[in-house]
Amino acid sequence: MIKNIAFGAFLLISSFVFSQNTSMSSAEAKVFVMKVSSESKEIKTLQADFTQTKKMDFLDKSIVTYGKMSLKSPNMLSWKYIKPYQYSIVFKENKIFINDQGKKSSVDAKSKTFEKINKLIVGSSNGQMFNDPEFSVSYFKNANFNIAKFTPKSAQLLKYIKQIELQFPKNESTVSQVNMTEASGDTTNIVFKNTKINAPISASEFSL
Amino acid sequence: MRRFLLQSFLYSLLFFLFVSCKTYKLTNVRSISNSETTVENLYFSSNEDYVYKCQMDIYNNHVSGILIIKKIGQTTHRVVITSDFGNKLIDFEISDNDFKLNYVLPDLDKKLVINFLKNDFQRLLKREYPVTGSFEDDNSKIYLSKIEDQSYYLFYNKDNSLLKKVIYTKNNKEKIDFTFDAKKHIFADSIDLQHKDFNINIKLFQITDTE
Repeated sequence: MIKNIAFGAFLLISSFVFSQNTSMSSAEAKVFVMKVSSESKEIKTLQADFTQTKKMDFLDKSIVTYGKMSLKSPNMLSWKYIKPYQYSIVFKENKIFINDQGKKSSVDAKSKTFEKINKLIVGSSNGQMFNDPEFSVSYFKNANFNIAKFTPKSAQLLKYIKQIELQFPKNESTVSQVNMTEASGDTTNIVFKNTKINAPISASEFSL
Repeated sequence: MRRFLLQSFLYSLLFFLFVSCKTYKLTNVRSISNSETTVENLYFSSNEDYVYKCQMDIYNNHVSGILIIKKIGQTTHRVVITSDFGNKLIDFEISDNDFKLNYVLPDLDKKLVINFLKNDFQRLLKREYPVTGSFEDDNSKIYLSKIEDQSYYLFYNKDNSLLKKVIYTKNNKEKIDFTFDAKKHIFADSIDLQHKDFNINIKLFQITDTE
């Protein structure tokens, strides 16, 4: 008897812990996408601090890096790692500018891969990503978050990435967490904090 | 663009293969009596994770990323290079005689690239060197390790006995210089890897001790 109760309690607890994410109904998903898409159209600038955690199965510790991102609609993006090293990348006017601990370089962003990266990053902030033909999207929810999971459709893209998961805090239309699973099974997790919407950004943020 | 780069890279490669590089010779050193039979490079000998920020200059291309090295067996290391965003570029297991490729990004899946990395890391991670000659100058004790047509010159700082430089030569031609900056013998803070026959440089800065 006690065994059964204990087992029942275990089931109950584990259902709290493990099955928090439930699928959205197609109506719920529609509302969610509409809300995020329309609200993110109002986003002219976006700034946030981020913490990136890379996990690999053979490592004892995760690799944690910290930085700052700024986005200005329609197509300026700055992604800066501050700790434990300095590395900045700016997407601007179809060019990519890099500052690697003082070493500066630039790349024409016309190559297909860069185009995809740019589209992915900018798209995830303005809701366009839900319509990206490269991915199939499924929607989930739990007590605190709405979750969109992106899976590449083409075998070509699957060689790079298995899945991208975006977490939106309930009632917010900006991403607070990104979980990426690579083809190899390694994961990268990015958590955004101190998000500021439509606060002015100085032009120097996008020049290196 | 990429095709052009690869082509010019191959041409330069051919060019350099025909232009022999200079013969390496120790200068201003004194021979000393041989007290050691083997010397070691212990910079990757611990079982802890080694994590480095990595900057590579391959001719005029600058490649940046994160290098992770982990000892997974008595003589085997796992080596992973990721981009700065964390996605894996290459992943392999390597020892003196073995090489197993676990993953490579499709764009980097070129024999030339893989062989380069294999050769460089086999030398960087090589631990034991049988000593065939001993020298010194004012600052260093220098051990020569000759293995067939390959020679390694290992420079140890006299003050703290830390390994500060390895010069790798083949048929007496200087091929690669490894320079280490370290405070302890099992961990290098920075490493500079300079090819003498190709315009390739790799710079590593530790980011292990930051958490």
